[in-house]
Amino acid sequence: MAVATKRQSSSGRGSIAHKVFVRSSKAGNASKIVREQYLRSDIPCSSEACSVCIPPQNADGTFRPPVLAKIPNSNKQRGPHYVVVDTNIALKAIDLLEHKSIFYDVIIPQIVLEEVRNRSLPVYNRLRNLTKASDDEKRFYVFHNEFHQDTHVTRNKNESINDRNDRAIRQTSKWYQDHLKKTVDTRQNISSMDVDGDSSSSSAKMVVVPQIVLISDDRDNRTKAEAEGITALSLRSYLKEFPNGDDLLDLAPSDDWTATSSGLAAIYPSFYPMSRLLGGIKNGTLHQGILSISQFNFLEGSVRTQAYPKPILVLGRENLNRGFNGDVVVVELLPKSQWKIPSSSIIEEEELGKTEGADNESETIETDEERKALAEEALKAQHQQGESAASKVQPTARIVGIIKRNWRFYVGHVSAQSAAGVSSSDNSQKSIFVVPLDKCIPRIRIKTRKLGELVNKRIVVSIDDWPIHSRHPEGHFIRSLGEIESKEAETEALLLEHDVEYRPFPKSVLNCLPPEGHDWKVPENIESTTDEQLKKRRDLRHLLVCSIDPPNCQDIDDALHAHVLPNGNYEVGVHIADVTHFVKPNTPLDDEGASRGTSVYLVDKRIDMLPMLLGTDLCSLKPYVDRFSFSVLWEMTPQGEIVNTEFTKSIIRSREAFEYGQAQARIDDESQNDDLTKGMRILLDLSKKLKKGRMDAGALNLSSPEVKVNTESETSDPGNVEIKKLLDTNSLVEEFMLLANISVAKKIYESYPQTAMLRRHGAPPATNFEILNDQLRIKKGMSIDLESSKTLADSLDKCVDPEEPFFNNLVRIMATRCMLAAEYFPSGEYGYPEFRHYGLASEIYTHFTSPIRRYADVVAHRQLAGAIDYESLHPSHRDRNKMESICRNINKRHRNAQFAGRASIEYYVGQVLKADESEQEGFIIKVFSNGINILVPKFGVESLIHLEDLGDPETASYDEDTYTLHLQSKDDKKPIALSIFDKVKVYVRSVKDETSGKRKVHMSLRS
Amino acid sequence: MKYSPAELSYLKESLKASPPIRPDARLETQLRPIEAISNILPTANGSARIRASDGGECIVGVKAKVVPTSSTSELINVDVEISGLKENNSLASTLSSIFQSTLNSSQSLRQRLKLTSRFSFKLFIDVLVLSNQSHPLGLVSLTIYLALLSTKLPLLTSSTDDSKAEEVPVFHDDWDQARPLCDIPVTQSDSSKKSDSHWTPPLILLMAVVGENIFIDPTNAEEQVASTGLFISWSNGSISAPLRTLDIGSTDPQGISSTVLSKAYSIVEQCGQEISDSLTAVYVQDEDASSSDF
Repeated sequence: MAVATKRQSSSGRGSIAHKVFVRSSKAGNASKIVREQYLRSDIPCSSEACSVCIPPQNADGTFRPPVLAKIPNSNKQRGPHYVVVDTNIALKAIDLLEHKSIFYDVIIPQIVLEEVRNRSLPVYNRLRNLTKASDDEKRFYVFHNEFHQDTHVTRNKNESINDRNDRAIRQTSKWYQDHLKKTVDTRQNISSMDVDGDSSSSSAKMVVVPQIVLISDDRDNRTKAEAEGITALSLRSYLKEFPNGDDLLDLAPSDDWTATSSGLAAIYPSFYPMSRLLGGIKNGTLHQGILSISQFNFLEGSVRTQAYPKPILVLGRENLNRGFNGDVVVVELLPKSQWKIPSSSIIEEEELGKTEGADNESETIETDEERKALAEEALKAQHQQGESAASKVQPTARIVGIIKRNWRFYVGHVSAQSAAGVSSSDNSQKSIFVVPLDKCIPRIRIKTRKLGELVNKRIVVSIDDWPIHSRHPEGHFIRSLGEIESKEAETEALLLEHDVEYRPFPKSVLNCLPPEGHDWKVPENIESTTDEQLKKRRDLRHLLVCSIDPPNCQDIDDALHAHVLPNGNYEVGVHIADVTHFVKPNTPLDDEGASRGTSVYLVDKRIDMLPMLLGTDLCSLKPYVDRFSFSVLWEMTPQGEIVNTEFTKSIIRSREAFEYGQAQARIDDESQNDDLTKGMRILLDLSKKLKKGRMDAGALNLSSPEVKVNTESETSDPGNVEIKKLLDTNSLVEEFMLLANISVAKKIYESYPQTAMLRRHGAPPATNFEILNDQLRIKKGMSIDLESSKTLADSLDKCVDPEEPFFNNLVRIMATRCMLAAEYFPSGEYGYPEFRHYGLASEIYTHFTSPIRRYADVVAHRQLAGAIDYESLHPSHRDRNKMESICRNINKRHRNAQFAGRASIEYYVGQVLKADESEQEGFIIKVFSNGINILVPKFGVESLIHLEDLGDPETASYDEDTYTLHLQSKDDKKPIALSIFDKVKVYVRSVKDETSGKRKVHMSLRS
Repeated sequence: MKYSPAELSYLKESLKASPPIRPDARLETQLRPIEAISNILPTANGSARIRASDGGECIVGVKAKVVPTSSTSELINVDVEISGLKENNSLASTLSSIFQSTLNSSQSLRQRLKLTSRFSFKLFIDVLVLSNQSHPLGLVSLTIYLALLSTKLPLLTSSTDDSKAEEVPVFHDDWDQARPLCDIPVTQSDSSKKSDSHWTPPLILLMAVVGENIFIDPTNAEEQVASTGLFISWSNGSISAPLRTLDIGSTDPQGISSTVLSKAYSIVEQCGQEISDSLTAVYVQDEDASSSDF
């Protein structure tokens, strides 16, 4: 191959092309970029029918088989054909490209792939997956048109880059068409045809030269293609050629929105040009941040920016200006007269027929100076924390640009209005609204012909666009998950909503597992081994190790042991499953684990990070069998001080796997005096000392209402709900895991000061606690001291109401919500003082103890193995940038997993309550001017009660200073005062929420 | 090259004669032949290389960067490097400062570099003198001239008025759309009509004074017998500042008289336009060749 290129270049037939272009940088600079491209003539067309092209060779000398089938995909109106798609089709109709019933034998020109990558990374990844050769049933081939002598096109004078790229795609189609005509040997007889023949193949006995069909929704492009003799079709007309075309049409992007609505007036203000956004951000008059929409009010968003301690409010549809929850947006502050107090009422979209007065029409033209002054005022206003109500006024802003969309798939259901009066026989196309599950997302308009089938289903939709003249974003239907409220649909919906990868592991991943499968055994004899790594392992099988876990735990990550040393000190060991023995870096298995990031625990289901074979068998520290482990061994004084720490890879044999309760019973049972029990008693004793030391140092004991749903084992139908009980043995395990994590963190930080995988928990900013402190001060005369985690812990301890034992817990729950989330980071990203884990009051911390279910631990394992010279560390864990991207991903996955877990519990609690209505104690945790939010500790659920359900809404008045809602009851006009922290009796039952289609807990007040 | 006193005396006498006799039989207004080419550095905004007949060779590259106008007083930065000499050599720094001040004093060049009310291009002119026999000033000037002629600046696509709200400039991504720094009519047909906006970079011409005579583009031998060097700048069809004497390594330095000065003026007026036109012709030819490539 190399020779061919060389010869070409020496003959000088334009085999090197130059590409010269200007790159504008974000800082406003423009540089001239010159690229050289070496053109070659040996890029294959990769069609099985072609008799000329030589397929590319692999490194081992084998040839890669052609991708495109000899007898391609065909339909009634068109014979066998290959499809070429343009960039817009790939971007917008990726769901169709992935669809099982259409789009086989597709040629993706390289330029399309590149353009897709620049425009949308998620779509690029999906397209890449389609083109991966592993399971090639879709037969997608990337043709490197930019590097092929005959298809490379240079930009003409005054040609826009899009036109040039379109021309390149047409050139590719044209080349294929001519190439196949020349190279396909039509005399070839094919007998294998009937074997795999799908459709109209019975009559043909000869190979037909496959046609080339270019699919493009750009009319101009199509006209030009026709002129050049290429068959070009719009996506819709191509779909219509298929028998199931009508069904597929629903999946197509809503391309004709723009065509029909060109005359419409713009509803939203248009965005600023990029140059202005960048300039504004630079000089501080515009601010960039992530938009988050309030859970309680879809018309209220807030943007947290670098410049201000508090988020800036964005109120109303017009100011939100098509921003989505999670988008990276640019905002401009509004004049001071429009600054507002964050709304204290609940607004849900469906209940609101139309938007309330969008009155922010006054468009004043301000100079930068005025805007700067405004920006300073805003800062001042946020810093003023006086008592007057005026100081509660917050700066508001409007969105003037969206840097990055956070669009994904949304799960929802057809809105009640759209569903009304539907007959299933009606097949005309209709515009309908889809109400997403996520309350922060506005209704999405889609067009469908199958409305009848969609009503009462959970459906997945994707967003195409939000044009300036449309009140709602426009999207299209992807697929249906099933009946609303069926367990399968709801579970899948919540996994999708939280972006949890739940498909089974692909074959390439499973190939990385040990071939012995469940029969894999730890080698018997480790003395006589020739394996260098095995020699470095320490044999700890003589130690009396046991594991203590929650009931029914299958993936046992950790085990412990302790015994007395001759000098009176204790030896304590924590043994962690040696996952990295099986999960080697840079394998498909590792990649899959890294992208999943964490296992996800739902009520009735566990979505594993690693395949079952590892998680529940080979890695799991099961009792009575030998297992590889990674051990942390300490020598400790009886007072719990560490004398010496040691890390080693080891082999252990767990003597017993306890549940928390069993372990507790065994320790408490005085008749048990075997060595194992004695060891456990030592552990318990030491753990109490460790805990005390930690608490004295200021570790927080925070609380969130954790409940457990018991499911019946056969049907996995929810049985009942209980609050998780905590035993001493829970904290026994916890203390030693914390200790192991801290020891490992110190060690890997010492060895890899720039890239050690650590976990930090920032101190909460005081502004987060402002409201809670104000509420505590007014209602209870208490306060939370934010000086340090120690004072915070102490002041939390003092928040006790002698009449209400739960009050302390309640404050802890509310305080937890004011905290920042802990995060993973590579050690180079922050200075040492910033490493601090606020909640645990530890200077440095990492996650090491659960490698089966967390990827961070896998990385920590590898780094520790490198640090103790067991094996060399893979370069990707030594590269700061790579570590940063790993951390970013696992932080996101971790958060999503938590949300998914909670959503699952919420769903099941709803299901339990369906059969079990009752009166319960609840606490008011948030008061709005038109409702209250109540937490019921018994079920760990919270719910809103609207004003109408509380009493006579006419009489209601909200006193902001005391967080109290005054109103009269409906029948006897008795005055009711509802205020924060109040204990109330509520009647709890479960109803199906018509707006979200979700079964939710519904509460009503009992006096 | 070292000459004997007798050789130097002979040379001096023949140059002092009226009419003067130059050793290579050139006229007072005649330059030595040069070999010039523009646009030799693909990644630079503009570039040129000139080889002189005595083996002197100079390469110039021009790069442009976007800067806030307020942040810098000088929009043109010239850096001269002479092969074989240290960076802080006085000859190199003298040359740098001569060109830097001459170019920066051109109001119309500043106007051309302005992008928006806040931003301008800043030009970085890197000069590399690969070898030189005689004083490199003249050679460097010709090369800078040609490099600036071939300089193109990316086309601004964002708005030019950003006094109300700051904008970060955004440019057209096509290099073919870049606008030339100096609007030289490329095709022969419209070279005749010169618009008022037409601007060419300043040329600095070095001359040697011997007795009452003055010669343009002195050779190394002529420099040795000259009483002093003199340079005059020519821009946009007329003589312009600066006019300065320069030590060109003469063995017997002396002042100059007013007759010499008026001779110098007339020499520059005679040949200034000719030189600038012939360099422009080089550029136009190169430009035609490169556009017919594709």
